[in-house]
Amino acid sequence: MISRNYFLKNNSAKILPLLAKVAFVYIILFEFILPANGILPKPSILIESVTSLFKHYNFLYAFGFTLSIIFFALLVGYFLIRIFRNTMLYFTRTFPTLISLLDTTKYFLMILLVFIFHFWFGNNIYGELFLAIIVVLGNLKIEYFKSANEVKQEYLDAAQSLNISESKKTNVIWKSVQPKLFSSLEFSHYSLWTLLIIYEYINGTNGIGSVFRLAIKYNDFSVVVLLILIISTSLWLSTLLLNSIRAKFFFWNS
Amino acid sequence: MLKIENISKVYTDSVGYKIHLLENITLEVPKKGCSTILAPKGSGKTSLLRIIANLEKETSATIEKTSKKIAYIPSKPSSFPWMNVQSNIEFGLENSKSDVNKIIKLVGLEGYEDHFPHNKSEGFRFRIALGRALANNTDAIVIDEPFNNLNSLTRQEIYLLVRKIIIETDVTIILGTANITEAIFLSDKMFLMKKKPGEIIDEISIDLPTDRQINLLESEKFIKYRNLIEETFKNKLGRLLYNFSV
Repeated sequence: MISRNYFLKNNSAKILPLLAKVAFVYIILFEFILPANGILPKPSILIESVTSLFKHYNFLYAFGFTLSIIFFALLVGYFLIRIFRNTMLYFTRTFPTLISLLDTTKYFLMILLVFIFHFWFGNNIYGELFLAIIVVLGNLKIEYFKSANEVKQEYLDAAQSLNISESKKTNVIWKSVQPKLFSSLEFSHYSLWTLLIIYEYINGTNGIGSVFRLAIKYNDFSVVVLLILIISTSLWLSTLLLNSIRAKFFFWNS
Repeated sequence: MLKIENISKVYTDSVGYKIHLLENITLEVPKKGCSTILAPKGSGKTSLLRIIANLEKETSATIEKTSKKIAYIPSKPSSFPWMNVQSNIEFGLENSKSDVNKIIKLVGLEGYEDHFPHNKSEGFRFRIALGRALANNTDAIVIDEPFNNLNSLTRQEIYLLVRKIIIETDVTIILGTANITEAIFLSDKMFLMKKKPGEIIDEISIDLPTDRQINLLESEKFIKYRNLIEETFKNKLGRLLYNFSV
């Protein structure tokens, strides 16, 4: 059987040479053939902008800020669902229509929340943290509802026939939905990168979004491109990290 | 012993018609040994077995059980993929875990205690499910067609394992199957069941040696039992068997 890791390893192995080729073409084309153009900045200017990014834009703080909020929210969201899993199960079974509605409208709701939170909290960093946690919790709750109703009947039957306690039965449901919940965490991770950058861009005070805003304000195109490159690399590395966590702790198919 | 009288199960389908799935089923399962319910596919075996294992409610019945704890092994693998073999077999145990190693050895999983079942064969996962049922000191184990997806060699190994468990423990096994060979080889008593509605049409006691080997499948006595079962179905239903595996 070809596992998910097989594809990941193979993709990583294919992506790196491809990136090297793209970088080579970019350097030759924009450094030597088309140095003055309105498409992409010269590679040498891009390298010079790295210093400027750290010195003038306070990038390290901004990057650490956004990254911390994303991973803190993922952790808090997961542990909150874990702690309140019984209540969540009860809630999701009591209000199935509400959960289905949330599932259908979740993309719209996430964007709406960004603007509502901006309106409520302004530049307050707790507002951003709260927004991130709400997004993770919402996604996890929707996934928990969907997958708890799809737990294999054979697991439930086997457990029930052994006359085990209710808490152990809930634990069987909890354990069997783990891979799907983790997929939801991965989805939340991508969503948070997008939403928080939008939120920070609107607020213009903290995080990578505010660096974007500043770079656009100064018309510093090379910093914008650099930021896009750094964010893409961070996303790729975060995905590798999440996949290794999946392979270690949530290796079975739900 | 497990005594069931007049089990009936009626359900309403999506169009609103009442379907009589099981009708007046009466069974007397002796303690220890293997009793098999042999029935074609779609006859309500699974519902009957789930009722016996207290997983489903019957429409009406009188059930008398001396077997208090009945474990259920469904047709699809039920070992938990997030637990290793040892934890799977210990699942459901509150205190005493002393016999677990003995059971692991009995079901042939010694040396695999730390393995996880998610990428193992169905035969392996059946052994885990059987081990878990035994570890929980169940009086009876209800097994619902778990051998369907096994290759013939693994299937024979599992047949021998089930017989070994019958000999070495006091557990009662209630097996539901549509496979005549499997039913004869594993059973001490058989209940033949027809479908639409599911009804018991005959009972047969299987007088074969307790310790059975695979070559028994080719013995004259075995073939006689197979012919007898086929004849019974033909005589009672007035037609040849269908939807049966041989």
